[in-house]
This record gives sequence, structure tokens and C-alpha cells, in this order.
Amino acid sequence: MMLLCRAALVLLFCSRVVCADSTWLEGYANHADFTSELQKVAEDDRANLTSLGKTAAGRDVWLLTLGTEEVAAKPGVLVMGAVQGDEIYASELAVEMAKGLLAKAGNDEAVKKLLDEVTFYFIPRPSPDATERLFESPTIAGAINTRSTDADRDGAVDEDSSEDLNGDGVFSQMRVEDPTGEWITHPDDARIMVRADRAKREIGKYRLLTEGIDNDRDELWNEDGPGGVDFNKNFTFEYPYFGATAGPHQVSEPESRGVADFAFEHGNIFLVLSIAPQENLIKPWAPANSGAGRIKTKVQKADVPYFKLFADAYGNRVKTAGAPASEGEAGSFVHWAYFHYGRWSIATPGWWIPKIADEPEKKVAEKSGDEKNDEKNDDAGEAKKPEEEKPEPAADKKDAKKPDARAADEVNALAWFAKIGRDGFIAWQPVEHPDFPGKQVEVGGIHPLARLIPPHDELLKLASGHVEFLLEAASIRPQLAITKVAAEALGGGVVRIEATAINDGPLPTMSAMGSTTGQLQRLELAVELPESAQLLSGTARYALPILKDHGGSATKQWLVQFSGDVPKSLKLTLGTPSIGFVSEEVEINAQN
Amino acid sequence: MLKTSIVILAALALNTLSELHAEPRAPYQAAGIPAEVKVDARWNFYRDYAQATGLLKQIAAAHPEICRLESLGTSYGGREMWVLTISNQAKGDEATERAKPAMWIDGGIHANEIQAVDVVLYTAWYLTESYGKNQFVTDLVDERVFYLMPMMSPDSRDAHMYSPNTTNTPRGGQRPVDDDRDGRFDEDPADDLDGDGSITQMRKHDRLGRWKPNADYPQLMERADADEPGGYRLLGSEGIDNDGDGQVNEDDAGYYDPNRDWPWQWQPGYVQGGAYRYPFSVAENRMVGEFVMDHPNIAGGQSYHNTGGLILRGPGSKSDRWPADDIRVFDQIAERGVQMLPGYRYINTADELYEVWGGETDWLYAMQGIFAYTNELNTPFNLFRKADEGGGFFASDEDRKLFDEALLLGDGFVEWHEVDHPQYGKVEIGGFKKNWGRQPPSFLLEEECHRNMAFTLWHADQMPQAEIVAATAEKLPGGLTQITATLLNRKLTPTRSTFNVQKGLTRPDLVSIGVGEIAADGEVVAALVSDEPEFLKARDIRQNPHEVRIDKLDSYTPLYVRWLVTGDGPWKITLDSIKGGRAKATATLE
Repeated sequence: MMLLCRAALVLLFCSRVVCADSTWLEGYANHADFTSELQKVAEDDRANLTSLGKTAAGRDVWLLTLGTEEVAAKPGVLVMGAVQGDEIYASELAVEMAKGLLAKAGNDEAVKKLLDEVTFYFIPRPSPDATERLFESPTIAGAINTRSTDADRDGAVDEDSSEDLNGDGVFSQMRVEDPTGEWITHPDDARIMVRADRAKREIGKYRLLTEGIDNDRDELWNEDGPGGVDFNKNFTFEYPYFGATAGPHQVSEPESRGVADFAFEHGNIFLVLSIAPQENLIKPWAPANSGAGRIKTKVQKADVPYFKLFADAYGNRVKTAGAPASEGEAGSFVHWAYFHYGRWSIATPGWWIPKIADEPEKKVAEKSGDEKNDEKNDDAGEAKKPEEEKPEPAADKKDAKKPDARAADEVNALAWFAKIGRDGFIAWQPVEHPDFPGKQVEVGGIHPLARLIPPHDELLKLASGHVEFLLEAASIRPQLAITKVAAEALGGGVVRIEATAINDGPLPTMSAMGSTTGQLQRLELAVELPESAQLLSGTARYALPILKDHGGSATKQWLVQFSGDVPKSLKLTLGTPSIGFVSEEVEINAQN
Repeated sequence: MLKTSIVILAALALNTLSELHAEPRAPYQAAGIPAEVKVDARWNFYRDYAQATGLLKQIAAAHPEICRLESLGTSYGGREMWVLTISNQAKGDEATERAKPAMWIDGGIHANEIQAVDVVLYTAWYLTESYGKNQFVTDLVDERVFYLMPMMSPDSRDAHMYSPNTTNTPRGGQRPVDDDRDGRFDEDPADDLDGDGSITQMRKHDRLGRWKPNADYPQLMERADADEPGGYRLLGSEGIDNDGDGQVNEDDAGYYDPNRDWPWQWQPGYVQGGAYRYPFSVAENRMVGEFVMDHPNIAGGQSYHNTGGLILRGPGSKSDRWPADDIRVFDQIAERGVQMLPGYRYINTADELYEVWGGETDWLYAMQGIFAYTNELNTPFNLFRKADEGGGFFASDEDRKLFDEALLLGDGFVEWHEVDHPQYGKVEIGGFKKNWGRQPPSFLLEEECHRNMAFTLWHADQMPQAEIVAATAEKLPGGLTQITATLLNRKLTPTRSTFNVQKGLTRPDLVSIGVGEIAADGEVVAALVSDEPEFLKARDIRQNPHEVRIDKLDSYTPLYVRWLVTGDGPWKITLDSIKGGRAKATATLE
């Protein structure tokens, strides 16, 4: 009976249905449009579009391969867009990079040559079900796919979803006036909620929740809505067991399996570039105590300089000021690619809200003013109420000139909204709430998409720098050569051969972590011998150690006896799929 | 005295009479074996995949009322992943089946550990043939469900039997793996130079060699002392350098270890040798994983391996710590197992064996809330019924050779004989056959099957069983009625492990009162839960008082639930435990 009443209430709230605010997604492609766009890109001779499999909802996980001829036989770069499924801009940035690469290959000889030498794999939207949720109405934040999960591990699945209480087409936040609440409004901007600081004698006034009803009456709000699993929490490195969006186990989703299997089956990949919040291109992974333990969880010391090399290249191409701090590693794709897959793994968010406030106190005040006006226009007269109740604890007034550093990202976001004219704040608006009879409940806060997605034209501006970077990153790789080759006939058909393998490139032939994982094929120096030859010493195929960058080398010898005529020359081959192969024909110096 | 004699005489007379009339009579039966079986099965040989499949089909066909045979899919090599469900409801209502506590039993995930499969097959045969005859088995099959997967790695079982191998191979599956990271897959396997199906050892006469025949067992080779001549060189296991890289047999079929492929505490290959790509990247395991996740009623688990005579519990990695309450449950059940399995030791994997990341039974426990053991079958104790002094997992080579000579009459050893080797010239090959090492000989197999099955049935019997042992109704002043239910679990296993409660692996047990169904005007005013019948320290259940959620029912620890209700009853009370089964009771006013 009770439940029925609640359902009716929800219906009542939703009667004022407003469509999801499409302006946020303007220019961005849903799965169908994105597929068409990729198909168009794939019309290029150097491009090929294939599917890595279908998601639970039946969407293809697209792989766009750029390269020429035997693509799998060349060193490969894997570019991942939208590793965090709701960062739709990252999937489009990845496609823009692919398009930029193809365009340049048409008019730039160096790029054309690079595309002959290196294969580029783009998985621009690895978790398409998660990305597609952005297009749902009402709008909800989150990077999860459609798998039904028991997010709060209470035995019920998807039993406590959000509700659009104010009917604005968005699941935003909800603040409840409550003397036991821990939240107050931001001293400098009453729109923003911050935790009361007891040290400053602030007294909490609100509870802050997400918008909706406690459907399962467990005193938690909207903790188990429809879906899902986060691709970027589903990988094996430091997997967050029992995490709300981690899935039933590692690599549990068709999309994560598809991507992982593709990676494992492509031994030629040497570099993984992810557009993801676990960035290391702005603040490269620093030297850390690697730990003597068997399980490696910190970047290996020997690898640190090369992460810096990639980061420097990125900094030269892309303005990195104001970038947010890198996000957690648990279950992340970026960390998996280095620690478990054993490849160089670099990442950038690609885009972030620029830092606006140079003189925060002044600007914030100004911006707040602007925003207030906007709100007035939007929600005639209603939005003012919470601000009038803005608590002003005495302790705060004393140093009111100093800006309050709390919620700095939100303060900055509001300033940025004001600057670009984005209506990113939903003014706090009172609603009747069945869970809080007689209490003041207001719905509002920053729009869930407003901080997540840049305006589409701004995204397009980011493409060229990232294309430049990708080209440079793909050039940061080992360069193999066979030098100091000598083959001397000793008489009686016996020939001694000696050769040195050298790496003249800026990267070692394998990272320390790559070597530890054993995931990469070994670097090999091999001699091709005819049937008539018998090795007296040495092995036809030598496994070489890691050759350091800028001149790292290894020398090998063979002693061979030919039963018939001694051939004029022999062919030596050096390489491994993730670097490529070079050959050298060595002439056998006849015996004097 | 006189009376007794007369009775005996009469009985004898009756016997004689029936013999004369050739009437049917019960045969004299060895204790412990099911009588008048429908499926006649021998237990002194090893069945290959086809024979095991045949037996499973026969069992399922002969006992359709308690059996269901299904395949979870096909293996890499196209073999069926059979699961035999045994329960008296199997043919009927699957919902009822899923309401019963279930026991998962599997074997042969390491396919070379071959008797593991036969123990599970024996269990299937024994349960089905004893149902309706043996009371203990009948109760188990009525009240519980058995999910039996005899062959976790069917491809490699046939590979062990029909391709050249040692007793140690193949441990992994048959998907090709580039073990030596040279870009070629499985290019240098062992080679069966004499074509006898066993990979044995190679030796070569050499005056300067450092190996010599053992004084007591000249077929066994041992290192010569520093100051004595040897006479032989040992050249490793039977094989050639197929790929010309200077190494012999370095990239055999496989290798990945299917028992390092499970999600709990999984680590990649550089930490845990044999780990494949990611948890459940071995498709056969994923099928099993999905089946287990889809059957949360599984409360007990048993995985059979060899060798060494061990009952193993987790955790497998030293950094993993499990709650003491749960360890106690493992200890209590295994204590009896050690009595039932002479020569077996009960130990913890991480601390007393070796570290294992991503093992199956750890996943069953830590992520599925199942109390599960790994038994390492085949104790060296069985050779001469004495403890192996070395405490190893195998008997010493000397003991194995003595056993071979004395009891197998030489059937367990390939005598040294000469063959031509493309790289070494004339060599001798010989050594223990692949079927005499990790597995019992014919005449000890049935015993191994039976003793281990008996332990696992004891474990199955000790799975939780949620009961409502009393349900009372009492009128209170003011028009309310007080309903009190006493809940009990008279088994060693709690309805939920402590770890399950901590992590929320399965939902809490539900105790509900059917108000409204019977008494339309009734309402639950309040619900209380207490550890003692006086309700002096009762917990007030505010959320959904008509459906009380309790963490678990511990072993032999009563729990009391009380409702204050309006209306007249009777009140139907239901106890619904995912792993502890369901119970019902009705409370009526006297």
C-alpha cells in the first residue's frame, strides 16, 4: 500500500516532463551516428573498421585500424577514447585524431611514411552502452553500462533508482534542511554546497543527496539504479573487489573482454594512448619506491625517464595548465595497460575546464552575480530562496576577504560557465518529498553534463595538437639496426659470423615492466642457414636482452660448417613484432 | 536357551526350503556398496572422456527422477562440459531445487590429475544407486542438491591418455601458448621416441657421466659421489630439439593453468605462473563461473586434485586473511575428513603448501560465499600404509619402484631400452610410466573414490539447514498479538559465512510473516530480533518489519524473531535463506 502511494507520488513529480537538455550534447554523436561517422572514415584506403564484439545491449565495439599492407606485422599504437564511458568527448577526440592522421598522410610525406611503418588502432568508444546513457532522458551522470547489478550488495538488483523530482529532465542533487546534516552553502557562493568545518565552528544545515526517493527504504538514496559496470573499473590491476561499479569480477563485460583479447592477440602493440582521467602525460608517473615485493604496483624506476619523454612531447603540443589531478588506479585501463599488459601506457584527459579565476575572490563574486541573473531569468523568483538562508558563521566573516578554498573545482566550473555562457547550474528549487515530510527539500546543483562535456566546437580545436602529439609519440620508439657484421670463412667450410644489434631510438626495446610481465615477444637476432649448414656454436635464433635507448647493443656469434659450397652471403634478421624487423645481408669473406 | 535353538533351526529349515524352491533372495552384500544397481560400474580403471560421458548418460537415463545431465557448453576442443544435477526435485520444479542448499563437486581441472574425475563419477554413481536404499543418502538427495562436474578440463584428459605424456602432464589446457615468447606456439613439445605413450627419461652410457644406477633399484638413476665413477649421463625427458633453438621440450602444448584463472586475488603470470590473460579467460572456467554465480544456493564446494593426501583450505595468498569464525567452520568439517582419509593432512594453502593466486576454491569462498575444499588425492601413505618419512607429495622413487616390483609386478615402469636419437645418437630411455606416479593403481582406486566421496557427503550433510523450530502466538493486552519464531541451524556451516556478511556476497536471510494473506485486516506493528528467548536485548526492525533481514544463522545458535501484529491469524512464517534452504511454520492462537 505504502509502495503504491510512493509510486503515485513519483508519477506526479514526473508529470512535468521536460526533455533532456540537448544543448549539452549538441554536435556529439549517439551510437548510430557515431557508427556512420566511423564508416565514413573507414572509406579511406588506409582505414579499416571492424567490430571487437557486441555489448550486452547489442552495440558494436568499434576498432578503426589505420595502416598499410600487413598492418599486424608492424609496430602498433593503440589509441583509446572514452575509457571512462561518459566522457563522450574523448571518443570524438579519438576519431578526430584518426581523421587528422589520414588528412596529414595525404599531404605530408613524413606522416605518409609513418603510416607505412606504424599501425594505429583506435578504439574510440570502448564502452558504447555506457556512453549511450548520456542520451537518455532524464539525464544522469555515470560511466556504467546496462548490466543489472546489485550496486549496494543488499540482494536486490537496480531497486533504488533516481527520480526526477522537479521534472526538469535531469537527475541532479537534492539538499534537505536538517540540523543533523553535515553540509552548508559555500561561504563565497551560496549555490555550492560544502561540508561544514567543525574547526571553523561551522554548523551543518543540510543533508546533501542525489535527486530521488529512497525506493527500498534503506536510508540510502538512489544507491542502486539501473546498471551497471564501469569499463574503467573492470580491469585486473588493483581490481576494486565488490566495488559498486566494478562488476561481478575482473574483465566481466563483453566490451572489456573484447578490448583485452584484442590487445593480447596483437603482440605488435608497443604503446597505448588513452584519453582517460588516469592521466600521466601532464604529471608523468614519478619515481616511486617500486617495492621489493613480487607484485608491482608502482612505476618501475627504469621506466620513469621515458614517461617523462612522452609527457614532454605532450606538453610541447598541448596546453596543459589547469589540468585536474590524475584519478585512481583501481581497476583502471591505463594502469592495466602498463602493469599487466606490459606496454608503454600514456594517458591524458584530453580536455578539462580551464582555470578561470586568477583573483578568485573578485571573480567568483562577479560570476556569482552573473549566474544569479541567469537563474532569475530561468526560474522566475524561485531560486533566490536558498541564498537568503545562506549561513554566515561568525568565524567565516572574520576572514571574509580570503577566498574559501573548498569546492574549488565547482567554483571554477561556475566561473567557466559564466565565461562561455553555459547555463550549467540548476537553481535550487523546493520540492515536496515523501521521505522528508514537513522538511524543506530543494533540488538543484551543477548540471551532471555541464562539467563533463566541452562545447563541441571547443573539442574540435583540441584535435590538431593531439594529432601532432600522436605523430610524435608514435615516433618515440626503438630503432633497430644490425651493425659490425662480419662473416669470415675459416677453411673447410667453417664460417664464423659476428653481428651487433643496436638500438638507436629514444626508447629501450622493452620497458622494465614489459620485461617483468613477460607479455611481449622477445627481441631476436637470427641467422638464416641453408640445409647444408650445421651450427658448431650458437643458436640460429638468439633471444636478446633489452637494448637501451640511444645505442644499447648486444653482440652474438655463430660458428657454422657448410657441407657443400659456402654461400656468398647469409641473411641476418633482428626484431620483434612490437618494434619491427630489420635484415642485413652479410657477405662471407672468402678464405685467403 | 532351548527356545533360541529352535528359532535358529526353524530359520535354517526355511533357508533350505527357499533354496530348494529357487526363490529370489537378496545376495550377500559387501557393506558400503549399493545393492541391485541399475548401472553396473567397475571402479578399478580410468575412463576417458567418451567413457565418462557414456557413464553419465547411463546414470541420468537410469535415474531420471533424481538426475539431470546438461552441458554448460563445449570446450576448446569441442567436448561437452557436463554437469550432472542430483536432487529429488531435479526433474520437477527448478525453483524448488534452487531453494535447497547445494553442493558443488568438480574434478580434473588439472587434467593429468586423473583420478579426480573418477572420484566425481563414483559420487554420481553412488548417490544415484543408493537413493531410496540408504537412508543417509536418501535424505541428502531429498534435502540438498548436488551439482557434479566430473571433467573441468576434458580436452586435456584425453590428451593425457592418448598423447605422449608423463604423470605430470598436461596440467593446463590445450589452447596454444607461446611459453618461451619466441613468436611460435607449442613448437617444441616432448617427443615419444619409443611410441609407448609415456614420456620417460633419456640416458646415455658414458664412462665420464656423473650418474649411476641405484644400488637397490638399478633401474633408478642417482648422482654419483664426487670421487666415484658414474657411467651415465642423463639427458632429460624424452624429446628432441624440434625448433633448433638449443633447448629440448621448452614449449609444450599449453601452458596456462586453469586453476590460476579465478577472480579472487588473481594475479598475472609474472606473479602467478600459469595465469592466463585475466580471470575466466579460460572459457571452460567461465562457463563454470557463470553456472556457480547463477546458483547462489551452492553452500558447499569440493574440488579434486592430486597429489599428496591433503585436504586444503584457503586462503591461497599470504596477504589474504579470512575471518576466524569461518576458518573454524573449515576446521570442524575437515577434522572428520582427516579421520576418514588415513594419510591425509588438513592444511592451509598459503602458509603450509605454497602461495596460489586466483585458485578456484578461494573464489568459491571469497566471492560466492561457499565453504570449499581442495583435496589432493593419492597419499604416499597408501603404498605401504606408513607415513612417508620425507613428508612429500609423492612417495620416494625407491618406494614407488618397490611397489612397482612387489605389487604391480613391474607394470609401472618402462625398462631402459635403446633408441636412435637425431641429436644424441644412441640413447636409452626408461622410467616410470605416466600411469604410475600421481594416481593410485587399479586396486586402490575404488578406495580412494569411496573415502573421498564419504568426506564430501559429510561436508554436504553439514551444509546449513535453516529451520523454524517453534512458532507461537500469544494475545497481548491492547488487542495486539505477539508472534515468536525460534530459528535454528543444526549444521556446522552457518547460513552465511562471516565474510559473506561482511561483503554482502548473497543477501541476508529473510524471515517473513504472512500478514494480509490470511488475516486480511492484520498489520505488522513492530518486529524484534533477539539472541535469547527473553528478548531482553532485542533489536527493533524498522525497515520492512514484515520481512526481517538477518545476517545469518550460526551453527546450533538459536535466533528469535518476534512480531507484534493485529488481526486473528493464523500467521504463516517463512524463513528464506539463499544458502540455508527454506522453512515454513504457522503460528496459531491456542
